[in-house]
Amino acid sequence: MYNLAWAVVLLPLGGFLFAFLPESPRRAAQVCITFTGAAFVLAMVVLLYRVAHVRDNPYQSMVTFWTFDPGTKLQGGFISDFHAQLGVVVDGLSVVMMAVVAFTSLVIQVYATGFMRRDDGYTRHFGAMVLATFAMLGVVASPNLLQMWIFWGVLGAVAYVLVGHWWQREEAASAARRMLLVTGIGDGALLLALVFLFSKLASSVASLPAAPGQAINDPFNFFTLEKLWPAVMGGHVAGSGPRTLILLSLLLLLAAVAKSALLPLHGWLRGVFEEAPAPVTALLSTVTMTAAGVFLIARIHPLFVATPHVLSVVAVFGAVTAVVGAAVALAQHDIRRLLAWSTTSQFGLMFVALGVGASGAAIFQLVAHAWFKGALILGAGSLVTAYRTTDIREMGGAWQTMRTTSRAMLAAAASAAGVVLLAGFWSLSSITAGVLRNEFPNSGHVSDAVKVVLIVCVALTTLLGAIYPLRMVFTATLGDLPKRRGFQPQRVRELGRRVTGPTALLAVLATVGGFMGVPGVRATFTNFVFSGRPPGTGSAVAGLLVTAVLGLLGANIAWALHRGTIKAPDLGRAGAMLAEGLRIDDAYDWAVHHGLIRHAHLVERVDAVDAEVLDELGQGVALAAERGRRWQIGRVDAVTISAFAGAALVAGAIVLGATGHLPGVGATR
Amino acid sequence: MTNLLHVIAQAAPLPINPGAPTNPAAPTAPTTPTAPPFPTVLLTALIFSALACALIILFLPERTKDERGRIRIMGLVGTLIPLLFTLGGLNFQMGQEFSGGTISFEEKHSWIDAFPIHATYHLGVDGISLPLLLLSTVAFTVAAIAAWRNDSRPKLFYVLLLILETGVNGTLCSLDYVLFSVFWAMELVPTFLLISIWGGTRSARAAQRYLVNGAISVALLLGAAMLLAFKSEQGSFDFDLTNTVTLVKAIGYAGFWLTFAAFALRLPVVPLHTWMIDAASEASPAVAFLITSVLTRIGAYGMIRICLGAFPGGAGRFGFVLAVLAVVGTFWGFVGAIGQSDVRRLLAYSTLGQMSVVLLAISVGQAIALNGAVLLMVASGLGTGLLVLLTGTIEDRARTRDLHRLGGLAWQMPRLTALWIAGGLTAIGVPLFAGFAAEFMVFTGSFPVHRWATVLVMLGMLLNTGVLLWTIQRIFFGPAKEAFARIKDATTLELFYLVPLAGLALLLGVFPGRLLPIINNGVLSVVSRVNGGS
Repeated sequence: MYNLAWAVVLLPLGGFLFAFLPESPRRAAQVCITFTGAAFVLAMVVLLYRVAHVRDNPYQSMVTFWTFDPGTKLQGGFISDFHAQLGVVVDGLSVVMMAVVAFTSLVIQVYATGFMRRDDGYTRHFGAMVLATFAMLGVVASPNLLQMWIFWGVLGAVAYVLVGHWWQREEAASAARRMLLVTGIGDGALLLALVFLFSKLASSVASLPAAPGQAINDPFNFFTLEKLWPAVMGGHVAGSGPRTLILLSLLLLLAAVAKSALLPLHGWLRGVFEEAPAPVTALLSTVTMTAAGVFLIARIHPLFVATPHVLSVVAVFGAVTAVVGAAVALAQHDIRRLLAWSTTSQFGLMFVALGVGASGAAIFQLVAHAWFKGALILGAGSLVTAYRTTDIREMGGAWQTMRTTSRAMLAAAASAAGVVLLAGFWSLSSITAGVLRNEFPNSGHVSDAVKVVLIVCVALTTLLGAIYPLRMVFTATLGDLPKRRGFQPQRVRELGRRVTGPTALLAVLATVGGFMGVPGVRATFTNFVFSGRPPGTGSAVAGLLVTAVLGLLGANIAWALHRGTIKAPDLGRAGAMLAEGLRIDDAYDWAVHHGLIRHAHLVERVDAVDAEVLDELGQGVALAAERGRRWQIGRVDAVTISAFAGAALVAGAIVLGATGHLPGVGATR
Repeated sequence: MTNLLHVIAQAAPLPINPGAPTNPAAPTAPTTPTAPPFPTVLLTALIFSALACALIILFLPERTKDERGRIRIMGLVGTLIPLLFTLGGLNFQMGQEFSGGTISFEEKHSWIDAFPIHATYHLGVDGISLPLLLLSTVAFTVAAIAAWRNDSRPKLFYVLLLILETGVNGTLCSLDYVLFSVFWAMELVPTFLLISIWGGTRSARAAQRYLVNGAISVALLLGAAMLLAFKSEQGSFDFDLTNTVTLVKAIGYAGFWLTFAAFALRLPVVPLHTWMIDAASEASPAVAFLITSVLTRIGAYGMIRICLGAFPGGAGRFGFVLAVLAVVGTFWGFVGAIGQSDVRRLLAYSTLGQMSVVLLAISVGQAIALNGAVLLMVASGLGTGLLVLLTGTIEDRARTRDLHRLGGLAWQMPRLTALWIAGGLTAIGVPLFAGFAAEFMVFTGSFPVHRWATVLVMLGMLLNTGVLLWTIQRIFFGPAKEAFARIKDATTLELFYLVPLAGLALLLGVFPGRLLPIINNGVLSVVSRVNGGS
């Protein structure tokens, strides 16, 4: 049954290949949706089978598809430990992620059939969507780091096409380039991690007994390495030690930070939100691009557990990002920027969860986030199309005219805010519970100060995170239709059932889907995802209480802010800085432009001098030969021949010198 | 020219070992399935078929349109025959069993026996030269088609192109220093004329720089060859015999630096790279394509084959210097490219950055890195070559290659945009495009030896990625421009040579492992000398 996982990964690729066969764009979209739908059905089959049989075999099953074994094909010389494998791993984490990715992509594609209806690049859009789905499924199904790197790279390249969909606009093209370049830092860090890992541990992995059912040991396999980390940490593996692991985990953290758009590499996400079509934004910021970073750390969590210092770095990175993201989001009036910062903030929370050892909670939050943020982004896409503006203050009145969208957005925003019993509440409270419980694997390494910082940050993020999504929905949908010049109220209407349906579906899941992961229960989501590992201990009640109180408090503040019963404090310059996203992107642009591009022409000037010098040198060599020259021919030929002769003289002198034929120079024979 | 005719005239009647087994190491065990007897003149035919076609073209008139068409077809035939021979040889090799460092399709005849010099007409290919031979023959075929519409003196163009191809293929196949230098020198004059006659306004100077550089490199190479010949039996210049020579340390180092300088002039290595920037930006597109994607690779080939193979002592001793040069090269290429507004110069600087990865692999001299280097040369040759050709097609239409004036071209040419993006993704090594596996192998091999250099080169490659992406954006994206409203998308002829190039790049990316057994077989012989040598 687990062999079906193969089909889950490969079906979207088939969709891509067949999408360009039919003439009509509509057919192409149907092909893509059919293939993604089939992948989703199979993913559900695998998931349910896994759920049913988790007691029999709580560990992973690996299906290897292709093996590169230098031992059989390449004799000697070539590094004999270099085994590359492509395959599919079936464990709790991968089956859940496969189902979520396929499902979300399917829903978003259905939305896109309506939303992108009159777009020129319809076929290209759908082809790239399924290809991105394929790449992400390849990432989540990876049994080893090498395959993950390959699919990361593919994902980035496809996302480049997706984000640059409206390439006619200069800004969209810039956003696509920035996205690929910044996430490319992550790819580069992952590549370096691979190279580093291989040079340090490949021989140790090769000397281990081969895993059952495998002829060879894959040096990048997560599950083989998992058993090796503690030994390396203890210094029992020659040539490596704690420093190896710390460096390795820092590299992986850098890769994840770039891909998940955490501070300070978050800038690309804003471009995606502002310039890409809404379906692309929804796909990239929920289950593919940003999710890949969180997934990487969740997958290789045992490495971080072995290096607890880095684990607390992960948590602090996440906490700072979460608070800053939430604060900046609160200061935004642009709906797309607000959602971008809110995504950054939410992914920061997931990193906090990973950092405190509650990796199940991080994946739970990832899934819930896919639902509520997916609904918010899709709904925002409809709103922006209807109002032809991105400023929420210029919207309003959609509650009557766009009934489904506005209600779906309210439900999703309430879920994001952590209002009691909604999906976001359960996921947030499992993160809070993880932080409060101090689920640090080796908690002795983390100082109390860090714990306090984390708790304060998470509480602050929960409070702020309850205010901004609700305030956004209140401002954008309640009230009356705006009365500005040139505004066409008749345009404020739903885009059709193919657009509202997916939005509503995601909102419904964001409302009721959380019951699969009620924290503290035995057979719960987090215990399934990481089945085989000891489940978290301790009470979850504190987390539930804190989240419930903060969520309801935040919701009330949002309502009061909307009604005007309380006024937002005027922060002056600090508020302006927040509204502009702390100007971090501007600082980068300034540094690149003034530090690099403005002075880059110096290289060419140096090269011109270099060429002159070489010319002189060539002529100098030529002159040396010209002394004995008798014949007269064209200038170019003369220079060339003389250069040849001169160089021959020099070379001959070196030869004679080296062989000892010149007195006093070179080696003795 | 007369020299070469001499070669043919002498080589034919003097077969020393007619019917020699193609694979001298294999037939020790009689049970192994013996290979079908392949004609041992394969390489001679491969190399000189181009020259023969050039000779035929010399006698064709070019007055009317039909006559010029006939010349073009003959030129294409002259490039297709070597390609077919290469594919045949490659196909034959794929089905072979491999054992350490075998030379295939070997031909050996005595050639010059004047007293101090014993040169042989010794041809053969192994895993290093065969993939590059594939690159070279594909590139020449593409160049012959790419220059189809060029109506100024097609006769001279195709004659020179075919002579150049003879020189390049000959360099890749020769296993004798004298023969190698003859072919190496044979590339000079045709390239010089190809650059200067069909090039841009400043092409004469660029061509002259190329020629002077080339002449110096031939002289340096011959000097190094003499070092070996003095030490070998009877002053032989044959690779087989000179490879057995043991050199005193100082002589080994001197030879290493001589040959390194000779090939660094071609690779190119900073600060000897300026000819390449000039030549690649001033030559006509087809010629610039050959310069960036073939001629530079021949330099790297020579470095692997001769610097590492013949002077392994120096490679072990001075690897660090080479690694530093590689780092300088990547960053020099990056900064040079980011400051450019001329697309062709930008691509030339970007090529400089990419070839630095090959130089990094050479500085290590280990199996996995060199395997990666050979694969990377083929892959990035296809990728960058595609970009250079595309620049030519754009320049042809937009009448400019200034990035400040280009923009929004994707409106008019979606197909060329897609091809450019494919070429760019290949050049920067995105997974599943050719080059990603190669870069991974190079870095895996080089990291344990030169850690910081590897990290820095990786960083440089990432920055190069940014430059290429920015270039794509500046040429193709953004609002449509009035000036380019009448531009047409790719013609069938252009798709005819651009799409196969992109397809080959994708094929190599999806199945990088197919060529590896062959490449590894060739790399092993070099590596064993580097490891065994002092």
